[in-house]
Amino acid sequence: MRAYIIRRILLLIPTLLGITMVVFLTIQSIPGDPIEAYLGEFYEEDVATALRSHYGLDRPIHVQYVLWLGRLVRGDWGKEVLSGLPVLDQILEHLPVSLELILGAMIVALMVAIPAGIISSVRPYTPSDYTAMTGAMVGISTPEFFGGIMLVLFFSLGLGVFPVQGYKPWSAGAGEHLSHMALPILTLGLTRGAILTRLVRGCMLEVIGQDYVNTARSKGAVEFVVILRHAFKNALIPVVTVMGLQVGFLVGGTIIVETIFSVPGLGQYGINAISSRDYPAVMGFILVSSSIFVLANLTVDVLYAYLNPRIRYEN
Amino acid sequence: MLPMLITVLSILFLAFSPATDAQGAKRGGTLKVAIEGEAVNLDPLGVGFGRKVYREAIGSGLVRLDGNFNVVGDLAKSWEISDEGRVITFKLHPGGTYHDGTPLDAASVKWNFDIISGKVVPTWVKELKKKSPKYKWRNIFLGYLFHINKVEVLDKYTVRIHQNDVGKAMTLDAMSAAFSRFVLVSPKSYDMNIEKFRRHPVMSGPYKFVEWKRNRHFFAERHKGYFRKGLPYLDRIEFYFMADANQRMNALAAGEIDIINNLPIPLYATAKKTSGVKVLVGPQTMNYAFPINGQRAPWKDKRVRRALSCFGVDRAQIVKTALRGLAKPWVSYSPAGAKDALDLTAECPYDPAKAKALLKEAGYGPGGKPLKVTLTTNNSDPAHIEVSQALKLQFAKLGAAMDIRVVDYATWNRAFVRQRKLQLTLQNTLSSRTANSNSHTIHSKSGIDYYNMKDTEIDRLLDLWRSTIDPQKQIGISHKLQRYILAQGYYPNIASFSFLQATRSDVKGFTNLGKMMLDYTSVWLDR
Repeated sequence: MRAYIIRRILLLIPTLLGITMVVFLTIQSIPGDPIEAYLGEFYEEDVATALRSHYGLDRPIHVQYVLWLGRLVRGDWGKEVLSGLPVLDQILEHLPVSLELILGAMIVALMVAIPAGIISSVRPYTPSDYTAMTGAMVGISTPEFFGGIMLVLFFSLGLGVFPVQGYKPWSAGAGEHLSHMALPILTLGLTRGAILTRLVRGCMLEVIGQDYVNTARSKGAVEFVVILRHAFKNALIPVVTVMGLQVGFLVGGTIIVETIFSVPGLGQYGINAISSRDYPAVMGFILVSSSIFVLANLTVDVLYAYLNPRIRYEN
Repeated sequence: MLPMLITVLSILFLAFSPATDAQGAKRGGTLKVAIEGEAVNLDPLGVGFGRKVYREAIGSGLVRLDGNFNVVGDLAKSWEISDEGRVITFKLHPGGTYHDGTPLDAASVKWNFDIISGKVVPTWVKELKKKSPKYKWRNIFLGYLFHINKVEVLDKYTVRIHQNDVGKAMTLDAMSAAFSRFVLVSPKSYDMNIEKFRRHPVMSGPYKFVEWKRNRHFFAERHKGYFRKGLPYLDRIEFYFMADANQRMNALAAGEIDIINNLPIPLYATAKKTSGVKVLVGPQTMNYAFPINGQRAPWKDKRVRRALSCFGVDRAQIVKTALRGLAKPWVSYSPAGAKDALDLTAECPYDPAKAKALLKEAGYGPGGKPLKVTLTTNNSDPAHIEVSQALKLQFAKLGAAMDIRVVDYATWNRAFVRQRKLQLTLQNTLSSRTANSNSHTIHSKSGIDYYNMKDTEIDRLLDLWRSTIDPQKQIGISHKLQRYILAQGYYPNIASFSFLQATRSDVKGFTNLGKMMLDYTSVWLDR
């Protein structure tokens, strides 16, 4: 297993290299550049040309990419063209906020999906199953921007229990911090919870009638133990796969939620960098977000082996 | 005993209640403002609405606007115009300081003018030039203060500017409220370290910079060395970046913020019926237009321009639907709320038959060439999509096919403003006091005349306006200019509309000055 993990981690290097190369070429090929964003509408072309030269933006794309990569290898992520702030500092400031959102959302998703999916599967075609599945269908079909606004109308403007928007760091107090993060986390988590609820139910229904589950019952095991230990653990493999993918998708999903709730996370950082064509910032964002995606998938693969000891990755 | 108790309680109440001034304004408190666009950095000598908001909160200039859009003194206590407008002598308020304690005097004002003209080059520019010889820096204010050729310090609080003839009439107008209001930076702080200044600006306005977390918030507090004694009333002002318009409205309704700087038209009705919220509708100083590229087909033909921009547009219908009735159908170049507004709307009635006839004359329509145009707009304003659709339907009635392309702002900006390769677009303009306010879009020598009219008569009229200090003569020239633009069909305007702002009901002393100026100096909270 260790060798497999090391091999996968080493494979990260060409994967990320490929991603950064494609993104570097793509972002440079779309109209606009950071100098235009910096200068706005009112500037003279010779000033823009001089600034492009100053920032090395007039060099061929492949040269710019190699220079960027060279600096990255030495630990220098570059500076944002527009603000002059170091990209790494900015990412380290925004990343924890997004990671907290993602983690919180996954916890909410699991807290919703596991009980609802299991109850639905052990009592199929009953009112509790229909209720859970209807709720899941509503959750899946509700776009995050709409769901978020609905939660605001209910919890903030209706009940007044959570703030409408904004972010307070932990240093402002745990209560303040968590009350500001509650609605963004719920918005992201409930959608993922809806997807996972249907999956848990489906996977549980597949295993619940299997011989080994009946054997466990016939040996006198309590139904609770049969469901959780024998059925649920075996139903988990596809669920874990989808969870891993969901973590990856959440990196993108946070962009919308961070924008709605004004949460200064990595998604918002990325979207601003792209809109202003701030190439070093875009590259930093892509590097981190794609690493999260790839690492989430690696974690899933490792979890497979834990969940199903028959899975072996060595030859 | 009871009267004594009442007296003591009254004294205590007065002692601990917020201080008020003669006008009844209460002192203290924190104003929270929602902004929709974030600044790229805090260097005030740059453009962009995000930077403008911050610049005007913490900056001050020589002049500013009052609630009726008149130019009044800011740092300048008074001024005297002489030599047929070529010389302006400003007397400054004494005793003020920049936020770093540098005296706010005539020498520092001269320094600020001299870095515009290039007579003084900031140290950081010299150092960057040493490292990178191609590096070039030009002060943004040069665009409209190009005509100032000499600045003199007469005494500690008197400064005199000498100007060339062409341009002399636009100085006060441009310094108070152009696309980038002229504000003063501390010479000491700006000169040495631009990287630091971009994150920690040092200016001379009513509020002093405290903290900026990009995409999150910008905080400033009362500047004790502010030259207008007794102001500002607030202790602190906080700006919160909220990209989503609905959330800005929700936060205002919940009382989490006090002011929405820019209320989108679709949210006007919601804001109006939200309790505890008031909507500020300023004068109609902005135009909603569909600029054409005068140097590209089919717009080179005046008949096509007149057909589509004048008679082919049902302005009333667009105003009623896409603009929610919050605008006024208007065809002139100067908006309805400008000081030199000239209502020429009656000269362009909606007349599809006349528009078709003009197109036929130009060789388009049945039996002629098919007329196809592409409208490229950006996603910065939700109204753009609705207006595009309405125009498409109206053009179809004239036999003109229109494709709609929606791109992001950066793509649009490059194609429209820089490369000028768009055939047709949509634009809600900056606010204008006069025809000259946004004349960079039409003067062929401005370098940023993205309407691409390239007409020497327009340049001549604008130069004449800029050289005349008599307001009545300026209005006369402006009216000639507006009539000429309409006759040529250069400027396809739809309507004039107001910059909408919304505040909590207990926010007092805030005036809607359109997009021209955002002034929080006299704001106070009735809490």
